[in-house]
Amino acid sequence: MSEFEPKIVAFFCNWCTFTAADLAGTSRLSYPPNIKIIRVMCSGMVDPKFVLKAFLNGADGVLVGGCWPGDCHYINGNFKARRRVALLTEILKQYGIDEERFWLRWIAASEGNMLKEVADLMTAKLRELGPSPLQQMGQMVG
Amino acid sequence: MAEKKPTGTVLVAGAGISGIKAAIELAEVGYKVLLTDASTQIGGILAKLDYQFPTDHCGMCRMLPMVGREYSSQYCMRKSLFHENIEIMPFAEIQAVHGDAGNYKVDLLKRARYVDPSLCNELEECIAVCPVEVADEFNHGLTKRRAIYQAIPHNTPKMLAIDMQACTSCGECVKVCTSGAINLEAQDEMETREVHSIILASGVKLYNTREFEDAKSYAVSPDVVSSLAFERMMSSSGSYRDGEIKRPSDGKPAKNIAWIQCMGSRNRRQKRDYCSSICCMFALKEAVLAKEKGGPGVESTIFYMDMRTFGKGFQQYRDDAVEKHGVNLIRCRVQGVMKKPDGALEIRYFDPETNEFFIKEYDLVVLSTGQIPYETHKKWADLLNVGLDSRGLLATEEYSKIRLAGKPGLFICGSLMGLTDVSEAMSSGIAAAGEATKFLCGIGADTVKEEEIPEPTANERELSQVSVALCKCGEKPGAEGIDYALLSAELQKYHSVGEVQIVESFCKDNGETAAVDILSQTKCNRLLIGACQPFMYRQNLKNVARKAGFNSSLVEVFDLFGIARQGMTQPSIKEWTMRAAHEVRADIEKLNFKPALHVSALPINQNALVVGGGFGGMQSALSLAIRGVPVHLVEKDGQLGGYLGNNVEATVDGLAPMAKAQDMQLKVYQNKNITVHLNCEVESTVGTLGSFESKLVYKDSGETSYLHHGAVIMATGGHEGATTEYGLGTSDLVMTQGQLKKGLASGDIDVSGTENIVMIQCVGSRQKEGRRYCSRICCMWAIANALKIKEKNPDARVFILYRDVMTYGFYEQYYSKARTAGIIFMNYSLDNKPQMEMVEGKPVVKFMDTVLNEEIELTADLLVLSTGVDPEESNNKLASAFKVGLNDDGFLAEADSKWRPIEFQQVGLYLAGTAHSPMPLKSVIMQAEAAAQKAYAYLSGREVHTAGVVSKVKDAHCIRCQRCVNICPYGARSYDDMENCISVDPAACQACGMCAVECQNNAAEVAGWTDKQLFAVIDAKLMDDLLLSPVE
Repeated sequence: MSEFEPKIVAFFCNWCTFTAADLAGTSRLSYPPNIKIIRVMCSGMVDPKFVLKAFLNGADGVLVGGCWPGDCHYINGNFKARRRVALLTEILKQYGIDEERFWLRWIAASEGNMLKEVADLMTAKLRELGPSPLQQMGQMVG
Repeated sequence: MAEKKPTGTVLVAGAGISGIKAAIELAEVGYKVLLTDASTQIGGILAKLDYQFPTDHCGMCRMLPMVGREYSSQYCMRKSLFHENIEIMPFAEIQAVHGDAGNYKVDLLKRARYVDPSLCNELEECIAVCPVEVADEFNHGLTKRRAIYQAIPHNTPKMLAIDMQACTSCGECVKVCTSGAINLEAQDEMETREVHSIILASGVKLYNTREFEDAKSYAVSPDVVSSLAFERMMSSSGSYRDGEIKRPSDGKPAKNIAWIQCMGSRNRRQKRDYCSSICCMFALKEAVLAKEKGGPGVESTIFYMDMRTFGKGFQQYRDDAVEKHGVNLIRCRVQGVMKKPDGALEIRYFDPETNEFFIKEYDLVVLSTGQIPYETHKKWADLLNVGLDSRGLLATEEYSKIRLAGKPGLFICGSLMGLTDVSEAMSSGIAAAGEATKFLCGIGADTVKEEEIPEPTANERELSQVSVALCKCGEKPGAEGIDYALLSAELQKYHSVGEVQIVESFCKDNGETAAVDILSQTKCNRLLIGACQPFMYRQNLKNVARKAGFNSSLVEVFDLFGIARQGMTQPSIKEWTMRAAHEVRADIEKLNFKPALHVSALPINQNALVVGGGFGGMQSALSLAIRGVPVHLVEKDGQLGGYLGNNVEATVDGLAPMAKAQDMQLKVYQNKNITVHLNCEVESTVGTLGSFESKLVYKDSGETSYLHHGAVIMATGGHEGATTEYGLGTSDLVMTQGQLKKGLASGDIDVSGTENIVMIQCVGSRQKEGRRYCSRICCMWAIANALKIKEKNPDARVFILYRDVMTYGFYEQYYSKARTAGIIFMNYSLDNKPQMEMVEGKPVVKFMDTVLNEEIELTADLLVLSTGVDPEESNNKLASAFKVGLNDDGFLAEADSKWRPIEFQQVGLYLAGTAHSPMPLKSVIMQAEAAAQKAYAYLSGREVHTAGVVSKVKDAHCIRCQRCVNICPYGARSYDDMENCISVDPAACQACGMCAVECQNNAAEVAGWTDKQLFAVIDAKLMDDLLLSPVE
């Protein structure tokens, strides 16, 4: 069996982090294809159920990327995201999903290299952690 | 039949932020704009600034339109700009301007880029093979670039160009370019355009340490950089790496950093007797950021002459920089920088607080380089045949910063007026657009009439069948990275894909007709278009789709090349194609579940309400009325004019507010579109967007009336502050600057026999208790009064005790004039305020002389206090009536301090003048003009076209908990107690989706971003790649 390749669902805000991903792409900064980018308008738009859905459907990690605090195009959406992510992390832990699998990062539009860094780090971390416990459970059942 | 009017066209020269803002504003009203820039790209100085205070991040996207979002870009502004009515022409210079107002013919020199952006496939192989390396101007030489290059790394489309001065014409790039975009023989071209009006927004040249003699003692090492270069050192697209600020000379982390202010400005010997206005805040921001981004142990020190924190929120930022971030501020003019053999930079300075000389070493020295305005102004004066004023600047009309004197149809904005911060650049851009709009209305130019393409109806209950149309980009071999046959075969395997069509080209004229033909044959009900640069062509593509019978809300566009390229280094064609196929699945899924969206049009009441009858109010009322808008002007006092117009005869820069107010009043009363309500206040307001009903109360009679209006401009102004300090009110010899000004003008105060006059600045201002802000105008008032006294009695000794002299911009010359006239300026600090006691009926002032370092006692014949500017009490009532915020100081809180200075979150509400913050008369008039333009743009639309993507309520699921109402940042949601339901104002909603997340019952959702769609997207993204891999 080949080496474990984690699947990471990444919810990126349209204004900052998605642009950073675009910048990384156009500046030829390659980041691992493990990161599956889903563009949302704001990190505050990321409903906890999207995160749960991602974990349930086989994601090994979820990354939420938004604008830096004070910088949200929608005034304060990223603050709301921060609050929700903090709560959700606690809940996920109770179901055996390590907090290392659920990241929230602020990446501004100009920070293409930071996006690459985060993508690399998270992929490496998840390779270390192995498949999500939900998937292992799924395999046992299946 | 009515005569066909020409479509109003405006040339905006200079695509920095003020030019962009002016262009967007004009485009929103419906005029055509040609936006040119002398550089290869757009964005101006701001393209280099990743961080702007007070958030210390970027908020450029906030200047995009809030309504009619579909017509403009909806992505990061640093990439580029797109608007249907704006044609962008970078790398073009104006060579000559013929004709007159309303009929200009402009000769434009379009410089050769040598790379045709319309052919370029952006694969950048040419850059990789280019053997020439030169310093990159964008990063101020901190990095290298090739001769063929992209000037701004984050711009899209990339718009490559060749620097012919560096190019060796080796031809390597031509060989690797498969799309034939490179032509080394390309020539500059001339083009003549006809426009009605011209807005100059070309900015200023910045002082450069290499060019000027007086900089030699500073620029001793590569580690002495300009403030703009330092900005690039903190940017990750510059030289910022590994969480450290790298020294240019050896790449070592810079830990001890010094800023030297006023580099190139405030220098009379060099005939630069002005202040560059923005450098103090610029340096404070950089000093704070350096501490945040430079890793542990960074020390920031700013050497300054006066810390000019005159704008809204500036003083607060300074206090935070010092108290929270530990930035050192030292008031001292540093004479030079010495380079030590080990590369360290040595600064010798005198610390006025300790009265000692110090020699300190720094790793990096940042020079706060100011503006060099004259050259730019001279160039424009010659080109346009307009006059220069005595200072050598373009002559504007007396009370305007925007209108060029004697030249209707020609306007300036942005840093051409003198270096401006972002907020002022925004106001000036809008104001310039306003002046141009007024001009175009005057000559009867028309706005763009959109081609009416009826929206095909959509049957949402039909099973989704997606037609995928892939654009081949004509013969442009840019798509060579993708195997169309393979991609099309892959996509056809996918459920819900009805057919895959390959279209020659969407964007070319004949291609469009062909595309319509192909697509109208289809039996599918949804359409997914794969093309390049979707953000540029989205609206066009949607029009094509509409003509072919697709409801445009059921059409999605994806970037065929962009997504495939994401994160891949050197993909093979197959890998690339498979990646694209994979990525497209998510788009198909999202489209499958997308509901048809409906755009609604809400009528706007055509009346405007202007609150406040001072200069701001009168100017905005007149500006709107001239354009035919009925205006109701409400003033709480018995006469128009406000504080300034009723109390101040002359200002330091030679304006006569009282006379001007008389003149404007006359115009207001003569204008049949303006109804004036005196002794009247707005009590409360009901209604929402486009249709407000305000209750007006007349103070004298107690009568009330109700007014229907669509927009409101709040221009409540302010008045001179009060204080109990320094015995004000206890003696006739102690007075405020306002009282002195009046007394001097009327002759009630006679200074012919007075010996000592002491003025104390910042009384009750810029401190924790009282006014925390700088009132911006008191220094100019004090100087004006002091000069007046000197004029009447040259023997009088005038002392001005100040903390920082805020004579920013070209006001600096009056500070110089005052010192030449023998007025004595003495600095004091907040912890050592001047003291006063009455001795034998005369005020005796005690203060520290910071030069001699000893205490001085002065018996004053007159003690004059600068007590600042207070906002009006009535702001409270107004704020609660319109549900807008006040800041801690009692001024109205605008939507965004930098990018939306004259708007509130809700459209239709605007502010101008001192209601925003204290400002000089010309700035008030500029803001009023800008507010009027915003209100006009909004009202002239006649109806608000809401965006299709807005939030909705599923009433059956809703439990009326109103959590969504509370969380909505735009106040778009409200609880309707008559109907017992939650209603959404579709014009206020910006589709951020906060409500959808907050709602526990899934009753709130954003059309186009529903749970169903997102779930399907997540599934598609997680689907095993193997499912789609081709059978070998």
